[in-house]
Amino acid sequence: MKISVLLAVVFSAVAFCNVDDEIIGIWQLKLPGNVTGTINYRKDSTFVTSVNNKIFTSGKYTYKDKVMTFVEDNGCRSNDGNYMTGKYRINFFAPDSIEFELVYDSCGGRRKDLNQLKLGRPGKDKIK
Amino acid sequence: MEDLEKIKSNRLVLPAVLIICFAVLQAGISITGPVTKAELGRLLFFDRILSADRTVSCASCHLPEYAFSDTMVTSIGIGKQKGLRNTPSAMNLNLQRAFFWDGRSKTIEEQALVPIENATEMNLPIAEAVRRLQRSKRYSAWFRDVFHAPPSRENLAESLGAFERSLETSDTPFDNWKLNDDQDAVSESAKKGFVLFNGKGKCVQCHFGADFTTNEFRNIGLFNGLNLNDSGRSAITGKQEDIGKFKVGSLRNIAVTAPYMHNGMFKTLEDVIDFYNNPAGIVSNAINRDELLSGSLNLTEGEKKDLKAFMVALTDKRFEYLTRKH
Repeated sequence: MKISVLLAVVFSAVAFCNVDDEIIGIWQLKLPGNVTGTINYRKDSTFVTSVNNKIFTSGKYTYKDKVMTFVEDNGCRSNDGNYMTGKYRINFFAPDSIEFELVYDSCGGRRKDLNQLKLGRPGKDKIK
Repeated sequence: MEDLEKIKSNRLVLPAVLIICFAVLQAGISITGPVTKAELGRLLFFDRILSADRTVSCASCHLPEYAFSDTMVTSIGIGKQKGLRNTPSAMNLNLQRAFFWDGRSKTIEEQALVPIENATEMNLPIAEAVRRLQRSKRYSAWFRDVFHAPPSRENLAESLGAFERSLETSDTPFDNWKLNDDQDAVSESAKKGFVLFNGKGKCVQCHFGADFTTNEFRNIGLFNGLNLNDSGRSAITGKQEDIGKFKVGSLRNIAVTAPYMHNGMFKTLEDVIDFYNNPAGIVSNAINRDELLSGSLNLTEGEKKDLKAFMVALTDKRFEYLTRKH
């Protein structure tokens, strides 16, 4: 009886954890030439990216079932002036290491940069 | 009597030493000498030893108080000779891929040596510059401390390059607004300017990135083969399609680096915005102008002010005092 109560509590706790919060916070990668890039996914569904502490892009995102959909407020725009949406699956190959996998992105330059991009949490040396 | 003279001269020594120490500290020179390549590069950057007649240093044209650019249309080099192009800022070079307006240098280190040898700038062959540094007891010691080697072409370039690489700025109202989500960091006008920059103004199509440049070469319509006859990038590549193309400059600290463009023809940001608003109205006979600038933007006066406010918000805190007049 005690074990089943314990299991029920554990399962309930897990059920109420918002798995989609796993993406919230700062992700980082190191590039050659002493360059550090970061993405900060905020709780209010906005994000910013930076390169060496300089703002790079910003915008809005949604994240559900490990799929990231976003639109930047600077950068990729189509010829008719609309901002291009990007959609990527986020693969966690460790709890603090992710890889972007292209689902859909009509912005060629961004697709080239983001597809298969790997990032980690700052301070962790998981990404080689 | 001799003892009195000795006492008098000794009394002068301490104040003299204190004055010299104060002067050295004010000049930002470490009494113990530079420890890093960037510190050594800083000393060299400000030292006129690198010009033929010892009257010009890198800092003569790259003024620190103006984000390491110049306030003149073209700078004055050795023998009071006028340069051919406007001096770009030496800040925020780390992420750039080509240097000079025509991109003739591929690395910062390569770029750093060019003005030293240039006949209208510092006019000192690098071999001679190196010999001077080798003959200098101070520099010989400093190069030995930093590089464990005597001065050479390579480590001269490396130290100047290291100093220039240290000149990065990112403490601006705009970065603060976006990175720290500080909604009060910029004015409402600057926020509207940001929207225009990315939309109606089309600025982002060339000025995208952490330093607000795509690092491309573009012809924005400042070449007509007549009074505007600097062919830019094509002189380096030899390609017809590169005629009139120049490197897209960074917009960081743009509010304090007037005048603008490769030839310094625009005195103010308002002049620049007016040009982009209607390029053909300012230069009607441009050759090979980029299609992006084929028409007018039809910006209102309010929109022009907002665009300017956004660009002023790209000024690093250390230069903010200069933007108060904007």
